[in-house]
Amino acid sequence: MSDLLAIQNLTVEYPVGGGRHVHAVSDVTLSVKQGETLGLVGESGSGKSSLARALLQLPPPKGGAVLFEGQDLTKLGGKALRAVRPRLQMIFQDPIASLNPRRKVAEIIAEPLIVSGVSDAAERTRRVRAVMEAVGLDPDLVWNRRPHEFSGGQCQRIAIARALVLEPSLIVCDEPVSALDVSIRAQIINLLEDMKARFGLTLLFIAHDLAVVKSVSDRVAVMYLGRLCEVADSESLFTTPAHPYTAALMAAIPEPDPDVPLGDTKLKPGDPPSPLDPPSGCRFRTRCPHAQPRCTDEVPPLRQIAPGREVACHFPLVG
Amino acid sequence: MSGAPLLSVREARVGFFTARGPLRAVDGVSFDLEKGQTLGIVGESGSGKSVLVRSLIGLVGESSGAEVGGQVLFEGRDLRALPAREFRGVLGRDIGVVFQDPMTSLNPVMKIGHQIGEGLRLNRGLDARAAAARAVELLTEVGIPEAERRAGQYPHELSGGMRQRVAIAIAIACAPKLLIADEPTTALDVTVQRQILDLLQREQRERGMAMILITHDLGVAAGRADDIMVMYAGRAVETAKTRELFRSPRMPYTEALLRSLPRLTDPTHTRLSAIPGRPPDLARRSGGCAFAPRCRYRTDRCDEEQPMQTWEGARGYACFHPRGVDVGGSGGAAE
Ligand SMILES: Nc1ncnc2c1ncn2[C@@H]1O[C@H](COP(=O)(O)OP(=O)(O)OP(=O)(O)O)[C@@H](O)[C@H]1O
Ligand code: SF4
Ligand code: SF4
Ligand SMILES: [Mg+2]
Repeated sequence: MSDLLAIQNLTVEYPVGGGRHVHAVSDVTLSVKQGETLGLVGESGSGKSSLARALLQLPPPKGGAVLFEGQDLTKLGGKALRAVRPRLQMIFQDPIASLNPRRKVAEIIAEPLIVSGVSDAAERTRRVRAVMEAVGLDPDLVWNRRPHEFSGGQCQRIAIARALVLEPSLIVCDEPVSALDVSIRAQIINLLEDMKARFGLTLLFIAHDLAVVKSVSDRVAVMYLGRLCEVADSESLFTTPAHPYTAALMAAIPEPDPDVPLGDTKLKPGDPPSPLDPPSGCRFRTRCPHAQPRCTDEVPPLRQIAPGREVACHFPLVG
Repeated sequence: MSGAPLLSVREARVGFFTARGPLRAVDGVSFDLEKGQTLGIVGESGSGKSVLVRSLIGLVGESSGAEVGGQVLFEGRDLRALPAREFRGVLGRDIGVVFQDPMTSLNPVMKIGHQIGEGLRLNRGLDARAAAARAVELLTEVGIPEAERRAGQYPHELSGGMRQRVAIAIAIACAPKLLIADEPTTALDVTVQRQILDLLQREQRERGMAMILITHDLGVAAGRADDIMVMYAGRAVETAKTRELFRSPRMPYTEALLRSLPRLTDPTHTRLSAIPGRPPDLARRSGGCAFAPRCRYRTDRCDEEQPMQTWEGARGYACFHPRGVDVGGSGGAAE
């Protein structure tokens, strides 16, 4: 499979005054293959959403390249970027907040068509109806209604329809089910899986719920404090994590089964450090049970330990 | 079970008057909690979990425009019949509360050590010095490094996980008999969540404290609760020992919820067994079982009549057609 998206040495920093910066994403290199779902996990503040927004140049990253369908988006000007944008869409965590409350559902879904220059109204109506039906919304019932009349799950369907209407090749889903009721999540996950198959989509799926990530992802990348820890196919990552942080995450999963004993994260006590002042060397070293002096001095580079498996650790648990 | 339970709630009701008409947020909920035990209350957003426990401790009541009914017995005393002063005394000494957002229970302009000591001075009669010293001990106990220095800081100087630890220190300072924790880790990351839940459990065991743990995460409840009460649309639809609930749920909603969860043991792209529809709008409730529109076992009776809670010993459920099937845990669902 070829890469649909290749992120190279991506760096995102936010100035916070006094010459200080939040190191949100630091030197991340990662690719998404045509037709796959790549899961991206990490704790809050690990830089997942910053990475997602930087891909879409919202705003452009401080450094690095974003190769999408062969073009470096960071080098494109406004007009060229607008020409690519229909192929690259995003779905957000809070479905209600992500939809314009003043607009009718049909207008919300049609808006990307107008922006991208589909001027024929009949053509727009046809495409909006088709995409509504695809996501399980009855066009005749929802057409003239507004977002506040819908539940979170229905709003997420509307957001998915809007993302699909331009027939994108890649959709970045940033925590698409975390704000939804537990009994609704499975519906939306199934819908995303169906849409992916039906429209041949590639997905970058960001979430902190590891069971959800395992369920949808072919491969998974783990981030900690702005850096990648590990990239692997989902089965290997969940059964034999190579990075100590991945292992801690796996052990911390609260499994909905009282007979599964609580795992031992082996973490050193203490909270995650601030991305304003990340530790030198390996950023995980302040909590890592395997840290050695070398971890303070040297940043562990992301390196291949087996075909399709990369890890950024001086002393990986596997390989 | 020996003697009376620590907490006994009977037919708790909470109604609100909203612009869209009256709304029954909690509709006849009963449960018992024994000394030292943990009751998990699970349910989705709006199912009434928070309103229920807030009504027990007077945070939701007439003053907040709610209509509250039912009986709440704490160590055999009817809390709702107590004079205001005595009620506050019970709350201060015997019941601690931890919320999802620690800032709810923290005063942003008061030093942390002072906040922890406040309850000790008011409810346990400690003098300022003794309270301050005990506050530092408590901070150490909840895992805050450099407790002495931290005691002199303000809440905004701490991370989210640390704030929640401070909120826990405040809640347990007076050695309560009951700790109510409403989604205490929902806002936190999974590794921090684990640390906080471990801390709560350790404190609970060491002190023989009872706990009500509210969560929408069945995984959190599975690992920490002795018993679980499932709420749906303001009602307790199933109550059982944790293992029994996960092994053989009686109520179709519980069964459907457990089946809908993605499992780590399943291969990627396993199709999830989703529950159709969505939870009802409480202001537009009809008669009958609230889960009926989404239930695969629904019959005409379910649309017409409200199923009452049925008890098999300590196990309760509200359903006309309870399930007896074994849905297994990690092994997948039996059809
Ligand atoms: N002050 C209020 N006035 C009117 N309605 C209210 C009020 N507080 C809560 N409600 C309603 O009561 C119902 C139960 O809410 P509650 O907050 O107890 O649910 P919950 O189970 O704790 O949900 P969550 O998981 O989102 O915390 C909801 O329909 C809610 O909108
Ligand atoms: S590089 Fe060192 S500190 Fe970092 S994860 Fe590996 S062993 Fe731990
Ligand atoms: S009472 Fe009827 S509708 Fe309600 S859960 Fe039981 S079988 Fe389903
Ligand atoms: Mg709540």
